[in-house]
Amino acid sequence: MNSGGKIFSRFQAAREVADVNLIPVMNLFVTLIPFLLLAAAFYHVSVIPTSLPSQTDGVSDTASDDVSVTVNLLVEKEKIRLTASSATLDEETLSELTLEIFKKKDGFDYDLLTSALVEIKRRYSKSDTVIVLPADDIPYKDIVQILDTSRERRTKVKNKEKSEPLFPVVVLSKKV
Amino acid sequence: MKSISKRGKKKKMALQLTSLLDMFTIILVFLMVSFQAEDMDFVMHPGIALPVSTVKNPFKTGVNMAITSGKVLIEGKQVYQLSKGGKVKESDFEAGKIDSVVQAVEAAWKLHKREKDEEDIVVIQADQTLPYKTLHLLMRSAAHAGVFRFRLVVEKE
Repeated sequence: MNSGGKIFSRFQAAREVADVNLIPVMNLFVTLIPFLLLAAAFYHVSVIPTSLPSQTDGVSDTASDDVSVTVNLLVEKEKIRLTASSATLDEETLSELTLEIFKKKDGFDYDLLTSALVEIKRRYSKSDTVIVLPADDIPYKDIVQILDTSRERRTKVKNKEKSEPLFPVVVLSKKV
Repeated sequence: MKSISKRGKKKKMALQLTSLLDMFTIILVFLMVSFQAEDMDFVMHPGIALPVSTVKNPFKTGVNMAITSGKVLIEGKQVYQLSKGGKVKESDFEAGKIDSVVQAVEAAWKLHKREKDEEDIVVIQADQTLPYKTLHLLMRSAAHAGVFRFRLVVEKE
């Protein structure tokens, strides 16, 4: 055998020694993968908590010195009407908060709705309830979009998404 | 595995598992990311296209109500037939409730309370095209059964 052959055989021997037995690792993986496959969630679901208006006996737990408003969103096919109600504010102050958003070709201007809600939240920070009153023919998908808009404001700061709570307490009702 | 080399000596042949191991590692990482530790007592109904939402609330179990474009199911059992476009009968709308839904929610809630000690919540999975008139009537029917709180199931954005 020449010198080149010797070097090759030495190298070959070193390689054989360096081989790691991967069978136990493979066994572990084969066990873990079916378990994780069973527990994996490929469909990510979440929930929006909501309620129907109900009448309860007893005194309200809201302190009288906390000025808060309840936002009412009357959702119709062609417009969204935003009004506010409060036990402590007068009619004139509440009427200043009224807003009507008309549907355009590409749908409602949700940014305008968000900015109006942000302004109400800024003025009356204790407020957290929105009563949504959709019309009969409004599809569920549109209601969810309105709930998303009224629940929080999402902004991007330095490529990081930030959410600011607006009106997280949702009551679904109906105009009578 | 053993084979006889040209020189007649027995030589051990190693199986090349590196690439397979690489693949397994990627699959394992992916599955660990999508691993759901919570036990959700929730079965997604195949005939429903959920609306997409930005909400990130954790899932909470309750009485399952599924509303497709043609039927209403409570805990997987059909209790009401909807007409075309997910509409309810006008007589039920005037009554303000659907009796079969009231009874089914009442029975399911009692069972949930006894077996799992759960809160009075109805988990609604409804098709994104469902008109509000139907959704509201079904919610009112659940309220007649004594459940006023709801969780609307949505697909995470």
